[in-house]
Amino acid sequence: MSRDKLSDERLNAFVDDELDSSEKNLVFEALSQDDELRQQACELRQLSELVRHAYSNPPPSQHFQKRESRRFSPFGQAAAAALLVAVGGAIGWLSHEPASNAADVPDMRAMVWGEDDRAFHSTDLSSATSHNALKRVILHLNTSSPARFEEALDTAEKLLNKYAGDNHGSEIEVVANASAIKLLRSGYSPFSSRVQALQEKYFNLTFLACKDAMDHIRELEDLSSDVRLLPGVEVTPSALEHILERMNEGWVYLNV
Amino acid sequence: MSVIANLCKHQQFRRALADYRENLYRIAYSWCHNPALADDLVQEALTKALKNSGQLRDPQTIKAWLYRILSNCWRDHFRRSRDCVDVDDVVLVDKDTPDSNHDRNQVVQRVRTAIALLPMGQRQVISLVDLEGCSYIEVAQILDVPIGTVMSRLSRARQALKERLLEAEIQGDSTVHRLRTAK
Repeated sequence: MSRDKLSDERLNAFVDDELDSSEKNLVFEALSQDDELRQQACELRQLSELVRHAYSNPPPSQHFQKRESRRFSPFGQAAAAALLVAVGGAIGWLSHEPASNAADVPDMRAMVWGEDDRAFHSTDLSSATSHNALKRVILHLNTSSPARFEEALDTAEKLLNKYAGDNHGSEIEVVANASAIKLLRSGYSPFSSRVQALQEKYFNLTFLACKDAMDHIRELEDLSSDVRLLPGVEVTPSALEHILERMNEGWVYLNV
Repeated sequence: MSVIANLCKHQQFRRALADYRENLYRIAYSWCHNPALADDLVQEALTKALKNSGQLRDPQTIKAWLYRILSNCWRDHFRRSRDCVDVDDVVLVDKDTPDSNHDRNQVVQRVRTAIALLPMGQRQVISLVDLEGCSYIEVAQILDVPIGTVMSRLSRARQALKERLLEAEIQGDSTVHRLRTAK
């Protein structure tokens, strides 16, 4: 392609990566034969960079502070989830029944969604899991306390051992959001080897990290790429939505 | 549970709007070069987006959809303030103030001034392509113009910027030299 055939529009399209590969080949060929054209392409790139540079820091908006609007979203979700537990807990307390402590499952407050009356019910974990036909439990962590995390891992392991002798279909998910992300973060978590060992031992145990909370950490620490998680840890766009979906599917919810 | 699912969807939509707010503000500022007006335009665009959230059928296209709303708000603003003038024919005059004089030699200010001097149609195209990385097709959809128009506006905009920035830079060197000599 000679220079007179290569319009300014096409050269711009080349710089903006809007050409398909055959068209690009022709432009590359033309560039290799024409110094002036090469110079022109460089200038277009330079202008593009200049424009980006000029608006990388526009004057601050008076009505909007970036961090303020984002800050509450991951924690807000954690707070909403905690509120669900608190409300459920209160209902459960008022209609308290003696717990039938089953085997080695710790006596913790859990919550299930009742399809019949379409409401959340608070119950104790051992009775919930013994009635839970699907044998699916979702454990939610929203603090960076290592003791809580250890408790969650212990509970998950006990439940998995309890279900091991039963029929198939049991599943446990450990979902972390807010500051609990730290405990699934590569290079930060003191539990990396235990998480890995559990994942290897139980194929039906899944660890999930909330993408919202990860983005928040990324923003706070001004990282250029996503937060690195421990191997095998999966990502869910929003922990709260994931929990609600799971509860809708009949999973037992447990806030550790 | 469907109520909760709807609430979640709505929450997700609001979060997406919050995520785009900064980008919308940057684009609005590059169009009007007035922080207060840019704020108002973004506010208006987000209000319309919230009100008409049902019109967004595919959440993947939210970016183009939001810029299109912003572009309409800007067009409406222009029509309200300058009746019967085609926005594409209007060239904004550089507002010369002591502050802008002081900053003129700074790269950022020079580029912003050069962008402000572009006709509105060209300014919108170059900001969407260079600042937001929109494809030509997306820009054509956002501004509701043919793709050929996008390409020609972009080409003309960059030609004008080249003349004002790169070629002026060479001429500007002698001024800098004289100032240093006087010192």
